[in-house]
Amino acid sequence: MGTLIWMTIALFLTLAVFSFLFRDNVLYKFAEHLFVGVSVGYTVYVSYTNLFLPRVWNPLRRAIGDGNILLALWLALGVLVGILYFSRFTQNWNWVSRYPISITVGYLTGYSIIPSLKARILSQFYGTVVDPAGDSLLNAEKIGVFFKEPTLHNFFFEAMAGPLLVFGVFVVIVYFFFSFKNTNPVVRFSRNPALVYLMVAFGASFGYTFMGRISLFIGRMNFIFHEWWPIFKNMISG
Amino acid sequence: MKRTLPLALAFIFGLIGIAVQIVPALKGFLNTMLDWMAIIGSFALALGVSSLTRHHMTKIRRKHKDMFFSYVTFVTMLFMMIIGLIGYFQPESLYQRLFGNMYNYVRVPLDASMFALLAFFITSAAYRAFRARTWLATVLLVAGVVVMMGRVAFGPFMIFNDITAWLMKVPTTAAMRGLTIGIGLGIVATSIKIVLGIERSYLGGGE
Repeated sequence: MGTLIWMTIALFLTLAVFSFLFRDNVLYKFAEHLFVGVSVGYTVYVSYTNLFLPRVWNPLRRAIGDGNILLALWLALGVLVGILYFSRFTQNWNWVSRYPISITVGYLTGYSIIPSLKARILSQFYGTVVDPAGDSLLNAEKIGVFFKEPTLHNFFFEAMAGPLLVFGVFVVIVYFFFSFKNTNPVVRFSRNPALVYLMVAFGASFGYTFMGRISLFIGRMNFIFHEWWPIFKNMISG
Repeated sequence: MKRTLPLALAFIFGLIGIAVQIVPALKGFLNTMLDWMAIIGSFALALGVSSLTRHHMTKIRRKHKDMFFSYVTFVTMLFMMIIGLIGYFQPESLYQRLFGNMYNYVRVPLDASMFALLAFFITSAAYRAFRARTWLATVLLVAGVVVMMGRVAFGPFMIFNDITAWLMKVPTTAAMRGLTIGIGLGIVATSIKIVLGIERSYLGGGE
């Protein structure tokens, strides 16, 4: 019975959200505000248990217990700096909140430079030169495979995949870096191929996102017709 | 005090952020610094919760026509926090079961339904954006349709699955890689500007 009550609440909330398809209404507003409240409450719980306790409270207690006063003072200083955020609620001292903001922004931007260089630039260039198996993407042997066994699969997935990938990365980079008016023949030539690559990528990403949302919708319908309804029918029929 | 010191702090901590990764002697300091940032970040979350509370309390105090919904947000937020924290310290208790049920039967359905709702809105947006007015829009439309067909392909339509696999492996990877490299260079350039104090918009307006 308890499960049915909770499942009926879930059913009601699902229908309340979908009622927005008709128009904005009281049920949707209720579901929306409930979602915000429950999500914020859950985030606070997760932050307390996964962030505050293991990274602030427990290390602070351990540092004091071990007599590591320097670390304890350092962590306590972090708490004091964090408290400065609340100066935003004052009229005359709200500029003090710039201190924790600038410390966080400064540290995290400095910290992100090297990982960004590695993951977003060097690794991406490396991946454009060699495939995950370590072979060159411009491997002429793969073109030879197509001539030995000329199938569409061998042409698109083996022979042309690497060269088209390398060409695509090159034209997209050129397109982005020289998007202003430029008469250079390479820049002019790369414009249309780059746009084709980008349009295919955006279209494919859209298709993926759309199907992801549709699968969520199917999941909700499955919940109603294959989870809630059988339990409800059993209860009605005694 | 109001602008110079925050800029100096951003510069010093920016250098520390770089140094803890490249100076071997400081690598042991990396986790301590990340814990320190987590401490400050947790107060940013507390600030967000305080702002939300203030916003809804103001609505309730002014007897706004939608104040009932402010009560809904405020009460459920407190309820979720309280039963969650009591349940954490009393495992296997009623509070923990209640918290689990609130998560499974309230938050999860709402989350999934909200995102499922977007399917209908992106369909209507796509109808307007994807109309094949230019040949490039046609490419976008065809790629989108092929990938959608490829995700649910069966029987004789399995060809769409192969085309989708190729579209994702070659042109999409190439375009996304080009974008990622551009974004990476942008992040590095902006980060250097922030550390050096050239980019100051994060400090907000005013003095």
